[in-house]
Amino acid sequence: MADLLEKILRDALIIPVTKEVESRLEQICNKYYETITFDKIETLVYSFMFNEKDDDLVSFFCKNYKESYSEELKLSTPVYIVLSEYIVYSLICENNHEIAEKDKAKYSLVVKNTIILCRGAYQNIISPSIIPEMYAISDGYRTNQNFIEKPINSNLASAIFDSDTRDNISITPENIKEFEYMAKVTACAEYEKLILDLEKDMPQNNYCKAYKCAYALAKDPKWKFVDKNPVETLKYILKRVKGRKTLLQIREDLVTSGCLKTFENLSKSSLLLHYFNNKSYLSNIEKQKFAPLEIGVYLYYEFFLERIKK
Amino acid sequence: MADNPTNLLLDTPDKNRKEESYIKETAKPVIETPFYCDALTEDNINEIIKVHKPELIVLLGLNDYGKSTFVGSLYHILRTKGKIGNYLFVDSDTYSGFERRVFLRKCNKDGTSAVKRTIRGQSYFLSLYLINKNTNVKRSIILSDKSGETYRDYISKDEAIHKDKSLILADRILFFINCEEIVSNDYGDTKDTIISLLSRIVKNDIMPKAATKYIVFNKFDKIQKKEQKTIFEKRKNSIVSIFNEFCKDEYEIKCFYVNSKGINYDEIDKGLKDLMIEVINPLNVSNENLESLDWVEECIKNS
Repeated sequence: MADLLEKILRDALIIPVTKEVESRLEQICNKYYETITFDKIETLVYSFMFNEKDDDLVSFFCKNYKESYSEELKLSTPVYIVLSEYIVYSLICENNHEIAEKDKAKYSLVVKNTIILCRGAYQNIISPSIIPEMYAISDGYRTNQNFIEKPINSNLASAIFDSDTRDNISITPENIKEFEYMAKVTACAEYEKLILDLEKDMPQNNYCKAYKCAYALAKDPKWKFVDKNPVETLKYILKRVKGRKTLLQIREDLVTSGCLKTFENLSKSSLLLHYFNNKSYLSNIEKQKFAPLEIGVYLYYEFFLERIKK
Repeated sequence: MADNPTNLLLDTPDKNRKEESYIKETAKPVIETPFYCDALTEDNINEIIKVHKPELIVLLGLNDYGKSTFVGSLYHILRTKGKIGNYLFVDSDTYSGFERRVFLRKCNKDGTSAVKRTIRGQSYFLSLYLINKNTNVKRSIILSDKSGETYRDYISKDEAIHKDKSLILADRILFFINCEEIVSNDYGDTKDTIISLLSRIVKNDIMPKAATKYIVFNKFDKIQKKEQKTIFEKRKNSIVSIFNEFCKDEYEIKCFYVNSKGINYDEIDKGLKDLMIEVINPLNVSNENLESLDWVEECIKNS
């Protein structure tokens, strides 16, 4: 990781900091990891995507640097911006911070959801090369969670269907796997029905269709990870939907149609949901055009993160 | 109080102000650089970065090879014409540094410097802010113009080459060569010196692999006689081979034939004009890696 910090600092500076300062910064990063929360991750991601230094991070580094090395820390803004990225990358992609896989997946989704801020201007990110690695963690987690393991002894279904009473059926450590299997298979069947229902009952406006589908696919299934590839599902449902509109026009469509849902305690990284509900955050890209499918995909992952962060 | 010399630097104290607070005031320098707008150093160059670090262009060559003259000419064109190629000059943090180099371009009729050249230890980072007149895309450049003596020290002194922190991070390197030396009887020594300098740079791992490199054959206007031109053509190829061998780049190093003092910015000084346009235009950075950041588009394409 020291090599990565060196590389990322080089992306930010003309003359790199000394090895000693680099090592000290790494030490302070290690202290910072212990204080991490979901909200802090969102602020850090916003910092390196929007090139604004996070004042709390600056205070933390200055305070700890002085306490540990009895020296004032004087770093330029880009250094704090790339340090934000380095911290987020370490927490998502490294295995030595005791972060649960589920939390890593959530942080990874924060990165995926926030990047819309930089759409069409990715060159503005100071050190973009490590971002795709961060994306991949949430995809990997979904693939692992989506796994359905068929139990070796499957007597439970026979017991349910063949017996007149349910008195002899109970949840035991032995048959819990079988219950899980049956629940997942049922969730898959229900999900297929949900897709069919969505196809049948579509709003007229293409962007309302995208919104409705994204919401239903992310929020309705009892099994959160029922869909291994939600983009493929959205593509299947929305494939005939054509056209491109600016974010501003899409918002007007959604507001007029009344299909917008209201949310409490939205994540900072659910930028489209914030924008559609109160026009905040995305003013820099509101004149960019989006296809209904693109909006559907962005929204799905925002709805999904809102669901799994709880 | 009037006997205190620092009083001369302060406003007349308010009668109501407490004596204690008055005594605390001292004359402090406003900025840390030696002179306002002077060239910057390794200690303060990072301070000018707002968000994105500028492109770093290192001018590399021995003394009297025309590096500062090139910088002076570049600055002169930007100030007098207001643009180079499609880029309009907007601002600089280092006007005094540039003015100093323009001053150093003062030459006698025989081409020798009339004033002291860039000296060892002098601040050497110069900044340029430009904007593309067609696209309004902003561009910032840092030029590194160290003294030729500093590079001569690289050949013999370990401590000198170990101090170099910027060459390895260069986005472009302009290797300056003096054409007069190429056609002179001292060619052998010149060639050996170039080999020594390049081998020291490579051996000390400060030759940046990713940097775009150019060889600038300066004082090309001095090669006038037919026999000189023949000699130059032959020896030039040898010099280019040496550079290609040390740099080990995927592509042949591009060469420019210039007169650093040629500030006509027209066909007469075409070589210098072409070099200036090349330097002012941004590098063709591949956007391949950036495309993968648009994960939605990637997912839609791949699913």
